[in-house]
Amino acid sequence: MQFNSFLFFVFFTITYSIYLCFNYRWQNRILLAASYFFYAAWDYRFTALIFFSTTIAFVAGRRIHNSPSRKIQKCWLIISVASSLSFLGFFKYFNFFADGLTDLLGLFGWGDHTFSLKIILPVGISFYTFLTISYVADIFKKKLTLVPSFFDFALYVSFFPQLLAGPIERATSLLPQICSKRDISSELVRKSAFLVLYGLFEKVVVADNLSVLVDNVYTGSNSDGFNVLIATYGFAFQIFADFDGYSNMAKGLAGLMGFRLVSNFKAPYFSETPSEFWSRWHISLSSWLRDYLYIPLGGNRGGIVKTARNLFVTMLLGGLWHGASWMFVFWGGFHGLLLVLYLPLKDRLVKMPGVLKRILFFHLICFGWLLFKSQSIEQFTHLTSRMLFNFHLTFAGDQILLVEKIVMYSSVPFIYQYLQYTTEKNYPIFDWHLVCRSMCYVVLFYMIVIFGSNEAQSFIYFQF
Amino acid sequence: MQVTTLRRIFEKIVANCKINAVFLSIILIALIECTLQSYLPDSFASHEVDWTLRSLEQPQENGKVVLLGDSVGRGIFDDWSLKNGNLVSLACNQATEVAGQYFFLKRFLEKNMAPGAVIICDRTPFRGNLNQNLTENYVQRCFTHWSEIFDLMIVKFDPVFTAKMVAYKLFATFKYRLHLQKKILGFTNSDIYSGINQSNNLVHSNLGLVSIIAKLNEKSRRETIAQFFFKKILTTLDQIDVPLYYLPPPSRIDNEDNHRRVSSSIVQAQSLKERFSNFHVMSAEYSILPGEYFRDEVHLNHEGVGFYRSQIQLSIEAIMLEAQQRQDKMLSHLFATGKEIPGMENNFGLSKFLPLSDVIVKKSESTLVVESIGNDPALLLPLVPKIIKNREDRLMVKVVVDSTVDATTKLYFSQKNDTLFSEHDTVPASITTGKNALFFILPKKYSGGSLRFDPSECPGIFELTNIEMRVVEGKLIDSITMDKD
Repeated sequence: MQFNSFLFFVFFTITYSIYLCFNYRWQNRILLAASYFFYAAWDYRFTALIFFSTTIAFVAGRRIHNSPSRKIQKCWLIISVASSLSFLGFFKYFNFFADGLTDLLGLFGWGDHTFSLKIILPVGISFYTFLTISYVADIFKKKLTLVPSFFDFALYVSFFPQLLAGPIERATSLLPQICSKRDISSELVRKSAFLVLYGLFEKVVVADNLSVLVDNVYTGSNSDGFNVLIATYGFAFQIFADFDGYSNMAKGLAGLMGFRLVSNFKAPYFSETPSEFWSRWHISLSSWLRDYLYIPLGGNRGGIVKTARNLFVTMLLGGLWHGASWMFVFWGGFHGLLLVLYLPLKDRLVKMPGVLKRILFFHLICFGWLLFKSQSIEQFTHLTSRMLFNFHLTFAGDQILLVEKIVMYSSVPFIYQYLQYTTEKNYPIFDWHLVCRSMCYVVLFYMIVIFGSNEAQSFIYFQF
Repeated sequence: MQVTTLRRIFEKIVANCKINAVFLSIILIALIECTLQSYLPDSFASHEVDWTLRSLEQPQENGKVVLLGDSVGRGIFDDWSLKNGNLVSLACNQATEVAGQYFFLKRFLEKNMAPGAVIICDRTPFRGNLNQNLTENYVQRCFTHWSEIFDLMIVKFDPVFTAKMVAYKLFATFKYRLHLQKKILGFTNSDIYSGINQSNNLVHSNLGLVSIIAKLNEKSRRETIAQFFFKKILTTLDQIDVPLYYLPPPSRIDNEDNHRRVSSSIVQAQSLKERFSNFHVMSAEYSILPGEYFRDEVHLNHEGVGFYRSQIQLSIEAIMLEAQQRQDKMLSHLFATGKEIPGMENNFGLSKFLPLSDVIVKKSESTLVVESIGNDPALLLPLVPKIIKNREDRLMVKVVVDSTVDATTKLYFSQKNDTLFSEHDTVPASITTGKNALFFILPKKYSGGSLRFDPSECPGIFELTNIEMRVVEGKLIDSITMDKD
């Protein structure tokens, strides 16, 4: 059940209507039931998996909280984290490593062995695994008190707006909201309704339409280097609009029910440096990786070499988190390398004009997206070689049309990011005059209705 | 004091307006949609179901026999000149299924008098649960009268299906989005016929709870949606005592799958004969024709149509004749029950007709000879007083005419006593060479005003021997027309 489907519209209308009729205790139960229904709508068998993960984390949290011994607490932390990661590892990475082993054995002449299994990746597993780990780790670090109700905790793990693709909400932020009465203020409803509308626009108008254009170029065997370059810019906006659209809708839907989720993006393509980019792109993941991986690894405490190592390892694992593919590992590694290289260059780059830095860094990000989007290293080298050695600026009809379409679809998210960046506000639209705002809503609505892609597509981050 | 109060009120309104930007947008959208509801269908009806529905908004020229069915049926009957007049073809793409055919028939009956007979020529009239790829584009998007949405909601029992229909009903821009996309350069240019593909809209695993519920819902049905609507067609026609003939279309010799489907349809149709006395299966066996008569797996080519028509011509003409007789009888009976209007009895108006265009009129004591000398002959009958007292009652006009040509006649009506007539305000009827008794039932909105009689759309000679008007009780008319206007 996707946010951009009529099924979800019906589901949310029914759930929300019932939700508004009850007090927060019953609201939690209604949301829990709705969240499990939402998850089961995709595949009912994996509700058992999420329930099992939830139970282990809940029990571990309770044991950690109740145990006076630090050793026992650590033991329960390890059990909980290991079990969560083993589920993730099995469903997401088993075949990746099994294939790797097969290839390795092939090198020694034992190539007829195959270890891969027919495994379906449970949607959203990467996200809810991180939620359970953050809960247990925060209790261990005494940042969070125990949640007395299992149902409240189960709602934290399975809360449907963020279940499939985040934002990866911290237990310290979401659990207190679950365990107390929510205030659905008119301001929150207004902002949330806008987020849902804008998020839907980003998904169905920008991302879905760009996806068709980008795929045509990337899968075409004779695509011109110029077209590949333009399509790569297009993909940069496609993936942003896709994921920002999902995050905005998740935040908006949660907001309509009185929950405040974190923002996942803050004008990332206006970043001047790699570290700024990661403080603006997929913020909930990058901050999670920082708090639960980079800092435990030592962070920046052990000198430049250790900092570089920690950064690189964190980004490499962050890349692998996105999917069991070498291309994601390379993508993570590429960003890790950018962060590492930036360390010694930081002072020298200060003098460089901001616009130049943004343009330069945007192109580096785009190069990263080329790795991210490519299905294999062969496709990546093919596309790169096209850009380098087969670059023809012909101004032919198809080139102009491609540029025109990509500029057209990318313009609204670009302008909105620009407004966010210059005003340093998440909702610059709320500073506008009433009539302008209404006109903007109407235009967004009609863009969705009329120009929404005819071929509704899944959110890219669902596969992670 | 007053100024301060007014200022407070103004400030309060402004403060509230800030909260209500969403409501302002909703009002704007509602206004835009209301405006476009009437504009877009006129500009963008370019899809075969749209066309049929648009044509059904006007009274049909010849409502003796109505044809329902799929594209195979349409291919057989389209442009077929039959001895006793042509059929009104409502046969459409197979994706509309029988549900769509039922809605077509219902809409036909809302604007027209009951036909003398209905023929259904469809390969699979009992198969289908509205799950086809084109269902959204051909059914959900097109049949959006509230009664149709309600009918499908009850039988389909799928909230998403209903929600989409409601969205199509309320938002003309959503309904014609493919057409609008084509108007703007650079945006997605999907094909209007297959641009909305149901399978693309929702992708979920077979083990998803929603898929499982949908499957259970399908299994729990005692009959298919097609069977349900087929029975609704029969019940509707039974109420107005109109026979339904099932004509199984021919099947290509090497299309085993089609043989099975058509055979199964015949068996099911036979079983319904016992319950519905007005239902007839035209042939217990279907024709099996060689591949050379087909342009694809199921559709006949030009030669195939010619060959098959020769096989069924006699039976179809017999049905048409019977239908004509049934309709004439029904109309004569209805007219006879009507209340006479003083001064408008037999032959009252022959002397009052005035030539308007393309005609030469010769008057005698009991006849009026009208010679049409162009393609738009017209006679005016001015100053018909306001004669309908009861809102439900209707004016019925009988014209007896001897014609030298086969043609379509039209009776135009005006709400005022002027000579401005619109194509929307007409009642058509067809005439054949020889003597014809034409009956025109004017719609409820007509209570009195000028009438214009266009005997044909071609040159010919028409000898009018009688014109008479009567007021017929609304409920009697409703029993044969189901008119809702």
